Amino acid sequence: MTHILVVEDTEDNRRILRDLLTHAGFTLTEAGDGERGVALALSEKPDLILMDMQLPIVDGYDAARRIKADPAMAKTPIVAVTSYALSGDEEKARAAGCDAYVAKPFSPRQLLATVKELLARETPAGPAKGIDRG
Amino acid sequence: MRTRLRGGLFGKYVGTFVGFAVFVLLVNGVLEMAFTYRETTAAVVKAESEKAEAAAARIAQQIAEIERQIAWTTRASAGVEQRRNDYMLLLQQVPAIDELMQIDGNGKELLRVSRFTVEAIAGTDYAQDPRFLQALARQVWIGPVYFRNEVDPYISIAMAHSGQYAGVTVAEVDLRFLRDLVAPFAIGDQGYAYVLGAKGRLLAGSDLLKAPRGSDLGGLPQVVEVTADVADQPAGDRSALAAFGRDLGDRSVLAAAVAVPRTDWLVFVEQPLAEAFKPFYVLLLRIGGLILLCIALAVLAGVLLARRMVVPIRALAAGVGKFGAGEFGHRIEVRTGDEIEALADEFNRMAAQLDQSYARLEQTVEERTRQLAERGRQLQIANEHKSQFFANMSHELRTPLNAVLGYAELLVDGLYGEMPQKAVDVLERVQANGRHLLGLINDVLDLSKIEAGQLALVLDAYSMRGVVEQVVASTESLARAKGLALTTQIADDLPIGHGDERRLTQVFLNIVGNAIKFTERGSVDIRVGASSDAFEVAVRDTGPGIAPEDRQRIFDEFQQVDNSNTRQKGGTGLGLAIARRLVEMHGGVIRLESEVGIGSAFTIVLPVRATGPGAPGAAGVAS
Ligand SMILES: Nc1ncnc2c1ncn2[C@@H]1O[C@H](COP(=O)(O)OP(=O)(O)OP(=O)(O)O)[C@@H](O)[C@H]1O
Ligand SMILES: [Mg+2]
Repeated sequence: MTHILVVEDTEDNRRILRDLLTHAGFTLTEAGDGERGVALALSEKPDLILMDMQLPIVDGYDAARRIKADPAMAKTPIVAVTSYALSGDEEKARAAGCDAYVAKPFSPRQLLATVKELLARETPAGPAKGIDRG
Repeated sequence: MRTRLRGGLFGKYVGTFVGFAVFVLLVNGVLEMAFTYRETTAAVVKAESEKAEAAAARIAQQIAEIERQIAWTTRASAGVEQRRNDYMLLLQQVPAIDELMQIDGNGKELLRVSRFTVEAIAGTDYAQDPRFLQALARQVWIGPVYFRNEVDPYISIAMAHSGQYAGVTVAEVDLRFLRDLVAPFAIGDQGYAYVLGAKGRLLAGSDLLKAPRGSDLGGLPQVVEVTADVADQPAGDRSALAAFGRDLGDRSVLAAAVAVPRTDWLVFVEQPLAEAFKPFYVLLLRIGGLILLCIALAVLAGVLLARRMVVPIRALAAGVGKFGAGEFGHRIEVRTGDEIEALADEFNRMAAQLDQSYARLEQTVEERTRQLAERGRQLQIANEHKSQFFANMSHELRTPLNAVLGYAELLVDGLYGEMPQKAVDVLERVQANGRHLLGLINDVLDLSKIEAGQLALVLDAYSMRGVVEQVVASTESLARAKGLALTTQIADDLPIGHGDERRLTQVFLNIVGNAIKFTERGSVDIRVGASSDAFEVAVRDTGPGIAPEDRQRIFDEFQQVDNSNTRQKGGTGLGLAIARRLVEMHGGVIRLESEVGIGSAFTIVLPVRATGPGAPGAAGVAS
């Protein structure tokens, strides 16, 4: 079973992702802040991580960097979810090691498509880079 | 850099001082020399004249003596023999007389006694001889000088006898004695005296004259001058005459001459100027030396004085130069106790004040700089706060909106169970309003960011064709729904653009969106072309058009054409304002041509390579 880690501080958004992804058949682990997100990523070793960038304690960029610093997690795709605040967000996210970028508000339908596409690339051909956003 | 002066003060001072001193000394010297010259000349002339007069007197006296001796032989009573004895005696007593002759009353030679020849009475007839005739007429007659052997001067003295043996005694007088008479009257070591007869022939002279007797001296300038002057002298005046001239050795001489009484002779006493003016020359030398000495002293004094004057002035100049170079700490040291010191003090005071003001100025500048830096820092912080605020606002607004739209989509997708059609319709309205709200949030945030200078373009290569096709793809359905023809003409050879693709898409979306939104019938036509350095995108519609008074206004924030039609279409009036700013940020302009009732054409002219903001308000209007 494919295992996805969701790091998101808003309960409503967590619930939307949970409903969307479990309905699609994925196993889910959730974290409410960056610190916990990093810890869960390193202990659970999920197949994909959905990461909000505006997070308490440790922000998404830092968390992504720390996760990617672990050799075991270097190939795990991270999808950055941002609030499209300032231009340059996408560049920042990619620089922190994220593999895809989704701006809020996102369409659950499109997000799901992006996730599936990333996982499909991951499974047969090893590391995937330069994944387009939905 | 100091200017090199042509001739400093020092030179001027010394020159003036020395010039003045030399002038005074020279005037004094020249005057003194002129006086001395005149005095010397007068003294020499006086000495020479006295000698000449004395010599002339001696000669006259000598001749008178000879006359007296002759007269003694002319006593009336004497017979021929007696007279011969007398003549013999006379020859012995008077060495100057060489020959004596007696002529009888008829002019016949009676007796002749000669110092050299044995007398032979020739009985010659002298009746017509001037000696005989003149003596008879005048009692005593002194004849003109004649020369024997060319060089020995003689005169005849004829004297008439009275009484029984009336007749004339003629004595031939050898004038060589004159030499001994005049020679002693020479003056000085080089001076000499001489006697000239008629026509300037030399009768006798000092040895120093170095001329044989009988020489013709009539050509010497002093002789010429004196001869002329004597001729002009009134009868009886026998005063001495003076003249400058030249001697036979061509030396300059000063001469004085006196006529010898009862003759046409002139006694000259001469002295070469070299000797006569020796005291004058000595004086000249002394004065010259004195002047030189005085000049030297004047130069020295001038130098010293000028230094006293100039050194402080130079100190002043140097000091002021230092002030000019900004060394306000320098102090001019002048201790002359006069105006220059006062001046230096003034300069020093000025420098001190400048020093102070500079210090104050520097302090002020530093303070201002610090304040500016502080202001800059505060601005920086404010900017950071602003950025943070936009980020937060964006996040805070979008997060709940995300939840609204997300739940609605999940509901529509039936994740929570099958929905009745009515509920799905309502959910779609929720989604539409949510997206509209999102558009508003995006526009307001964009405009705020632009105004705050927080919106930075993300410049990269883009394809203009791609941008336009994407815009068409997202608006096509709207046009179709309204029954409008949406046509595009894109040139084939468009260059690769350089700019912020997402922002440009936003611009075209709004303009094409407007055209579709405000046009009820007809078409919307998009044409894309390019010149060498700019894209030109024209969007034409057959809509209501925009009145001239609105054409400028609609590019401002929250400005919409005020009619019910527009109101019905919705929108905030931010689209064109943002579009204009974004195009300007790319260095481009938006032109608008429109005719009310016929349609509008928005033309975006965009540099192929974004050049940064063009002139503000460059969005032109043309109808
Ligand atoms: N093609 C057009 N034909 C007629 N009027 C137009 C056209 N384009 C713009 N306008 C007028 O200019 C106004 C300003 O346009 P703008 O795009 O700034 O605002 P909006 O479209 O009303 O709102 P928004 O774009 O913010 O949703 C419009 O409201 C409309 O009155
Ligand atoms: Mg608009």
